[in-house]
Parts: sequence; structure tokens; C-alpha cells
Amino acid sequence: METLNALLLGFDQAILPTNLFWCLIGTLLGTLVGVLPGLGPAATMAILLPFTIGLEPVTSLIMMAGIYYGAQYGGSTTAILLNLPGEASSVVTAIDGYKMARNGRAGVALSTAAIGSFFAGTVATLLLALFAPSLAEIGLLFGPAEYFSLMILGLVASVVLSRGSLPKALAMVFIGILVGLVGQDVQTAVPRFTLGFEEMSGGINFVVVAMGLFGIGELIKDLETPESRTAINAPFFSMIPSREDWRRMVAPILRGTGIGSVLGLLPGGGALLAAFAAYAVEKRVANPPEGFGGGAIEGVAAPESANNAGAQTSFVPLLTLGLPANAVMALMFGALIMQGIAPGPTLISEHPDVFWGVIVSMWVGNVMLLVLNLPLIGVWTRLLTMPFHYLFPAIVVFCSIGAFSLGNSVFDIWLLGAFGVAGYVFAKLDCDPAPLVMGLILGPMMEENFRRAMFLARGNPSVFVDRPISAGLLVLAVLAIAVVALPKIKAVREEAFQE
Amino acid sequence: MTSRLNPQLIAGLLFVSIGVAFLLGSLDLSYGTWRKIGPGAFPGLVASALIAMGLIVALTAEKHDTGKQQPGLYSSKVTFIIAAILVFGLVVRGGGLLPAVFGCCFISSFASRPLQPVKSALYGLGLGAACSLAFIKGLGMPLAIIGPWFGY
Repeated sequence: METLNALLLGFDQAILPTNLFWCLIGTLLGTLVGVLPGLGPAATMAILLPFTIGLEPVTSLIMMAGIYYGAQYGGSTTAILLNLPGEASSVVTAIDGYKMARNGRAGVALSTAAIGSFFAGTVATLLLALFAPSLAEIGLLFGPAEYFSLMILGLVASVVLSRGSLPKALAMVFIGILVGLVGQDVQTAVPRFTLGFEEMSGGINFVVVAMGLFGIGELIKDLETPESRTAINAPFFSMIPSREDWRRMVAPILRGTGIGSVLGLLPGGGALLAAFAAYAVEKRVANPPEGFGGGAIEGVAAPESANNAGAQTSFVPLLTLGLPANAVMALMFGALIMQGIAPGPTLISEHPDVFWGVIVSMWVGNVMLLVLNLPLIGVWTRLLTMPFHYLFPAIVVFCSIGAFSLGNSVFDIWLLGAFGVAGYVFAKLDCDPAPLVMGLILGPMMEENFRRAMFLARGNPSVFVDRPISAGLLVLAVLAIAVVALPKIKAVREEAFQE
Repeated sequence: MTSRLNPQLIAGLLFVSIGVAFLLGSLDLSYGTWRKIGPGAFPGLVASALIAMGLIVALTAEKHDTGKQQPGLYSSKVTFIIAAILVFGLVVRGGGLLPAVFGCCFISSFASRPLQPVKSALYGLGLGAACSLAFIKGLGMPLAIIGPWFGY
């Protein structure tokens, strides 16, 4: 009953005309970047963050969330029609989806993806509504020691799941933490690592770092790998799945939704992991006549459901514990902070309109995507042929204006340039910037909780293992590292998976 | 085998140097006591860990990439993009938003293969006008469209 009331409160927010409008803008933008390979949701959100300051908190979050799940839809469209996964999470969809399109079943594949995503989105929204409040209550029990351990776990998870080698990813996290610590120390007001720049005493704005690393960095990388993209006119025939198709997609959608919802909850999880895991499970469980890779509808239904479910449940750790699970959530975290809202267990009780509004809007957004996207598929694929050389100067301009507008300071533009170079260098050296952004967000909070916990424990570092919840979180973190570090095979296998 | 630097080694050395820079910086700050940890302790710890990771990355360099081709680190495209950002920063206060956007757009278009200066310039002007309209007239950004340099 309580949940129902809360959901109704959310509906009140979600169907406000302004919120509906920005939800639509967000999902459309998300679909657009999902369709265009190269520019991911993280980069898009980073570029747009500064411009959302003027919006109401709930509205800006609704739009940001729309970009994230919209990108999942868009990514699957190009994966199916062109064998070009616009998003990493739709890589597996391309395997069977494109084959279906080649067999003249593009329409069915697209509807299957849309139906699966919509179903998964609905279930994930309900799960979020049911379980998030109780998780937040657990979060209220956390002291500084628990928070410190939780953040360790979050960082470890982001490292474990990033691509590339473990020491490299850890190094990126450490760089992120250090960059996050630049500026005045919170407790003693001593300026740290500011190199004497007055402008840096307030810290380096994380939006600038994200824009530089994701936006500018990815842009330069894209420019260097020119791809000729031509839209193939896949024969559509019918969008409507046959009775047989329906029968075959039900179980994979259910399995995908289940797997995605659980994996999205984990720190470090999200859409990408969910899609891969769901496809792997489907390969073992289902037995399609075509075989996987031959255009099996199961191979589209399961990962598409899973990535959408995962995208939505990955909001849970952020909205209940204040722990961003991946780089996109780190940007959502930044959006909340910019709006003056502290993400954490008190979010639900202090800003119920924001919390429930965002949750319900995700469902509303899914409806929009279902209704709008299928008819618009032709438009999206035509956009693929849009020449990149019109797009990228605009991106550079938006990044510059965005950086400036953060604090009306030219200094932020210099920082943007510096982090753009850094992003490019990291890309060249094959270092994933996602762990750096995680470290950047979590670093300062880690330090604060560490110092507070040590103070409360009178300088005894065993406080982190004496308290059961804290010890449990640390054990999980160690286990996660061990799993990846010991059998190196696992990483290799995942690499092979991507091919 | 190769006397050339491979990306793995460069990455490792880069990590070490960043770590050393922050470690040196943290030495100027108080480390405090176990009970009252000072502003230098945590950064010092993280910087040391970063140095350690950098060493691991650098020392295991050979094993990791054998047979991968060496990517060139330098690209003229970076220069144009970064120059475009810098020009925006230099012009925006004195020159106003329209010239800044124009310059930024025009310079960044050099990074693209089929360069068409006239088209780029027109596109830059159009984008500048659109941005001025949206951000200054629409969102009320405290900037001039055409700034004091041009006598306004």
C-alpha cells in the first residue's frame, strides 16, 4: 500500500508536462547516441550536464536517465539492422539480430528487442519501487567505517569489470582519487595540489574531467578511425512476431529480465554485464532450431531484456546508498550533487518526489520508446549516414560552452583542454577512463569517511574489520579481486566473447 | 627485442610519474596522527599505491603485448581539437560568444579529412548564431554575443 502511494506520488511528478517533455528529449537524445557508434551515453551525459543546472532537480535526472536507457534501445536498432552495435551492451544482440535481419526478419527482431526491453523495464521499475526503500533503511545503519568499505567494494567492482589489465585499471582509480582530492582539504582548509592556482582551491569540477576524458577523448579517437557507414536497406516484411515467435521469446525474456535485474544491482554491474551474461545463459539453456549465431530469436530477446533491466536496477545502489555502480551512474551522482541533493540513504525520505519521480519516469520513458521508436526506425538509420564532420565541431563547441558555464570561468576551459589531452593519451595507451571517473567521485568521500572512522575508533585501524557489515563488504571486495586476478583465463574468455 | 617503447611501458611510466608528483606534493602537508589523520596521509597512501601499480604495469610490459602494432602517439587531429578549445577560451570573454564559437568550430573542422574552408566558416557562423540565441538570449548566460574587442 505504501509502495502504491509512493508510486502515485511518482506518477504525479512523471506526468507533469515539463517532465514529460524532458523525458522525451532525453530518450530521443539517448536513442540518437545509441544509434551513432562512438559517442556513448557517458560522453553525452557529460557534455549535457552543465546545461541541466537550470532545470528542476527531478527534471534534469529524468532527462539524464532517459539518455541512458534510450541509448540501450538505439544501440540495439543499429546492431540488428547494420551489424553495428552503437552501444557496447548491444554487441551480443548483433550476433543473432543481424542474422535475423539478413533472413528478412528485421522487423520481427526489432519488435522482439522492443517488447523484451519494455517488459524488462517494467519489471525492473517495480523491483526498484519494492526493494529500494528497504535497502535505503539498511544504508541508514552505516557509519563511516561501513561507508569506507562500501566505497572500496564499489571501486574494486568497477576495476574488475573494466576492460584491460587489472593493475592498469587500479592505477586509473588511484589517479581518479588523487585528482578528486585536489582543492581545499575539508577538515583543515589547507589547499592541496592546487599548484598555486586560486581557481583550483574549490577542487576540480568533475564535469570538466568527465567531458574531457569521455567527450573530447572519444571524439579524437573517433576522428582517427574513419568508418564508412552506409545504411543497408534491410527488407522489413513484417514487424509482427508470429505465434511461434511469441512462444519462443517468452522464456528468454523472463530469464533475461531476471539476470539483468540482479546483475544491475551489483556494484560495477549494469547493462553491459547483464547482456553478456544473459546471452551466455541462453546459449546453455535454449535450443533454437537455427542454432545461436544463425538468427535465433532467443539471442535477441534475452540480452535485450537483460540490458534494459540492468540499466534500470543499476540506479538502486546510487539512489539508496549513494554508491554509483558504473561511470554513467557516477555522472548521475554528479548531476544530483550539482542540484544540491546528496545521494544516499536519506534521499528517499528527504526528496521523495525526486526519487519516485525518477523511478516512474523510467517506466513512462519506456512506453515512449516503445511507441515512438518502432515507427522512427527509418529516421534513425538514415541519421547514420549523417557526415561526422558536421557533428564534431558542434560537440567541441558544446563542451567548451559547457565548461565555461559551470562557473563562468575561463579556467575551466583550460582544464577541459588538459583533460581532453589526457583522455586522448589514455585512449592511445589502452587505459579505460571509466575507473578514473569512479575514483574521482568516490575518492573524496572515501577519505572523509576514512578519517572520521579512524577518529571515532581512536586511531585503531581494526575498526574496518571489527564491524561485521564493514568486514563483510571488504571480504566481498577481496573475493572480487581474487576471482579476476587468479584465473587469468576469465578475462581472456570475456575478450574472446567480444570478437 | 624492440628498442621502441611500447604503450604498456609508457602507461606504466606515466602512472609512476603522476604518483611521484602527488607523493612529493603530499610531503608538504601534515600526515597527522593515527587518530587525527592529516590532509597529507590519504593522498600519500594513494600516490604510493599508484607508483606501485605503475611499476607493475611497466615491468610486465613485454609479456602483455607481443605482436601488437605500435600505435603512433601523436596526431595532428588532437592539436586542432585542443587548439579549438583554447581559442574558445581566449576569445570568449573579450570577443564574445559568436566569434568564440566561430573560431572554435572553424579550427576544429581542420581535424576532418575533406576540408572545405568556406563551408566550415559558414557552418561556424550558423552555429555561433544558434548558440548565441540559445544560450545568451534563451538561457541568459552572462556573456556578450559580440564582446568589447569589437568596440561594444
